[in-house]
Amino acid sequence: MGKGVGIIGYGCYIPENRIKVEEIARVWGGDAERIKKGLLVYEKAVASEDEDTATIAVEAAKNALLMAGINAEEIGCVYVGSESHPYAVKPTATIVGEALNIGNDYTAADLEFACKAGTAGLQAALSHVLAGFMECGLAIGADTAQGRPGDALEYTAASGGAAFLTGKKGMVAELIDTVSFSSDTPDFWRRAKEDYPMHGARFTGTPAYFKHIISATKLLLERTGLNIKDFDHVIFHQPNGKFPLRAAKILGVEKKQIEAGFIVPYVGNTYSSCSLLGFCSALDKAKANELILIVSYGSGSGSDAFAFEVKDAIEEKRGRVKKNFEWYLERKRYIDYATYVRMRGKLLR
Amino acid sequence: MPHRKSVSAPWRRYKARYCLIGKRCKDCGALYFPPVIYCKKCGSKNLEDYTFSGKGKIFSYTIIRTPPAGFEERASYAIGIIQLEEGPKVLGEIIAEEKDLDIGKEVRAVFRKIFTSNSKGIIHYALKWKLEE
Amino acid sequence: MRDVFVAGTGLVKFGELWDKGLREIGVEAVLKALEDAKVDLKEVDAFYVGTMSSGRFAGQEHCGALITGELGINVPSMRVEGACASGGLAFREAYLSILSGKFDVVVALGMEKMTDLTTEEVTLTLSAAADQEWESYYGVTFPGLYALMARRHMHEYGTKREQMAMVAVKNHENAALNPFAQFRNKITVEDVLNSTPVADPLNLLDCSPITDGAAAVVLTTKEFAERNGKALVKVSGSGLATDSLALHNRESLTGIKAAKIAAKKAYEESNFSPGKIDVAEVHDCFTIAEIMAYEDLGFVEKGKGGKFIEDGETKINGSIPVNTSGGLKACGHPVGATGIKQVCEIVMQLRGEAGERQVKDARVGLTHNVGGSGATCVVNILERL
Repeated sequence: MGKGVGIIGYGCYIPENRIKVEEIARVWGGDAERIKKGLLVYEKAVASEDEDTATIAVEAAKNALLMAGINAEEIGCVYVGSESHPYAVKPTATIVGEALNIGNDYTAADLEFACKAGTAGLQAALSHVLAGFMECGLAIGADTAQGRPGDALEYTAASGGAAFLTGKKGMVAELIDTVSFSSDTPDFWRRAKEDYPMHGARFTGTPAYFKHIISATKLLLERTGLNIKDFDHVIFHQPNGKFPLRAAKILGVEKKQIEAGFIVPYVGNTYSSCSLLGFCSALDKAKANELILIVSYGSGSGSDAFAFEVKDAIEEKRGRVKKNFEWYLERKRYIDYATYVRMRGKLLR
Repeated sequence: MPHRKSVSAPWRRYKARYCLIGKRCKDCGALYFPPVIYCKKCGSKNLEDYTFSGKGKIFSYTIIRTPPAGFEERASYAIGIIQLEEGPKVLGEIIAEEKDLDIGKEVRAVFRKIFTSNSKGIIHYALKWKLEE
Repeated sequence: MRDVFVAGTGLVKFGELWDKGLREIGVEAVLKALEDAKVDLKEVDAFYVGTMSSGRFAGQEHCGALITGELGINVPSMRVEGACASGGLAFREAYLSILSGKFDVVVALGMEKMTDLTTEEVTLTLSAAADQEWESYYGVTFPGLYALMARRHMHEYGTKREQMAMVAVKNHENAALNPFAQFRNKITVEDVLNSTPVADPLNLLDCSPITDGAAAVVLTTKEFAERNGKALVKVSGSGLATDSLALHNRESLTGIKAAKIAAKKAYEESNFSPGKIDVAEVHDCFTIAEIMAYEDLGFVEKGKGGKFIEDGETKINGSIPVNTSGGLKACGHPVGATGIKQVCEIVMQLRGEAGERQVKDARVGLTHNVGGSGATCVVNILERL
């Protein structure tokens, strides 16, 4: 069933700072309980002032390398998907390549497609290996997403990263197939010189998130001939807790299928790494031969859907990495709003 | 300071600053970080790249409370001399709560931003040291 | 080899000298020194000008010519630099040049104009004395480097914060008696311990200040030195040594090897042992530095420097008075000027001109001038004939 190519190692990174919904609500006079109920998000991860998408990507990639057990020099491509690349022009991907010491014979590029830039990179990294251009690829989704102070998105926009090494040997998960559903849908955007994004409020729901997630899922099921019930783990992009649960209901996905990859309540929406972090969490709990469905969503808009089959190698390889999703989830220190604002550079100096 | 705006000056140190790659003397085995072109121990010029593990211990530390220009983003931060497990010592920032700092504690290298002088120049990355978790 | 003498000294009062620029303080010090020596400007064979960072503090390199140009002469003049040891190095170069037989009358000038910059800019500029790529680049400051040494000294020898604070207290006590000093107020150990933290464990009052100032000496052969009728002060020994620039590359963080080597050379050349020194000016850029200096210079056993100051051994009436000028801490530290100021103070002590801070019967004096966190050290020993 598989394509003979897949994930040979994965890793993630979540900054240790967390800010609670209560704390943000306190500053803006919001109703914390109502917000938590409405979003199903309780706290989010915040990058320190000396962290950015590049530093997060490097740490996640190092964990992936540790799991894969390969030499960094074997990597033939580096794709970093983010909405918060440190430079508008100068790729994060080569900073990562340099920091991992992969040498010079690799291709690289930065991707932007709102929250699905990471999965787009994963498609490219899988394809390059499948096409026979290289032995291994590296795809990373990483973000230090910003919410406009006082806006609803401020409760969920978070920092984090997930990295995936693709290859043919020593797969922990084999690709069955991947499809995408793309369109020009202006639900959420940011102009070049603006600090914060704009969004279309309720327009971000049905015509945007739901249309693309559901369409991509259906396309994938059609292509593979699989049934939604065949998947042991289903991960949707999680801009908040409510949207993916509703998508699950619409598609007939059960609670137990969603559980392992449902991570937004205590991390927040880490944008380009969101669905990929959910994927890491699910992989950490998955058993050999199980099937995993991941469907990302990026505003603007598009969804990348993947079907993976978990392989035997996962048990041993997982054990190589102490700092997995659960470890990062539990390693935290709470910060207050003032510290958050200082760290995220929102104070004019 | 004009040299802080230079792009070639930091670039030539990327391997050392990003990856902790120093040198090993092929003749006497002495290890060096940062990389050198001359072995002080035996006088040899035959040196090869050596990648340090990134693990070390705090040899000494201080909390800087009067940051120099370029580092004013924070009012204080910890700086330490770290003894790498392979022997050589390096200087760098230690990311830790003040109360947790002590001579002898184990630390590990993490990739972070060192300073951003302004919104137009390049971003300077290097390794900082986090208490082993 | 000939004998070399310090025939004259000239000091510009240290402080925040808003009205004076680099060239004014340099020239003023030179003219005072020449007057003291009763030597005419036309008789000077050469100048050695020590300034650590005139380029960054004042945008002015080429200081050798700056000074002779202002004086309207064409003799050899060059800038000497070794971070905070620039003054001591200028002195030593002047000394060696007369020793060589090539010159008979040489002026060694040390000067620094620091207050035209902001504190952050000064801190950044001073950090150039450290290893730019592997220390300063990472955000460590000068106080930070000495703080790393202090922490280690406390860890290895049990040296206490209070003992370090006593160095500052003593030096302020001395400076109160010195009309050239920047700070003439008395302070207590409590004051030091409660002052603003700068780099743990060092507080503001553990650190030498930002100062403008200049000092000059005229070195000559015996013939010229006899002119002004004052006591003859001979340079009996001089030692200079260097070590790795970066603190973390040195053998030890709790002592300055370059100081030990330089001192040994000076003691050997002068034929004096540490016990024979009557008065010393040491490089207390930070209080811990003076404690380490006691040990490096052999005044006390390694590790016992803290107890030495605690027992009052280095007060004016102690067994070995140290920093009667007030040291870098209280007299001030215009970086390049310090090394020469130290010589001026010793000369005044040996001549009996030190007023209220006079050490009784001072006959042999020592200066200890350090560059950076200890990568350079020059030790000079002077003797009244």
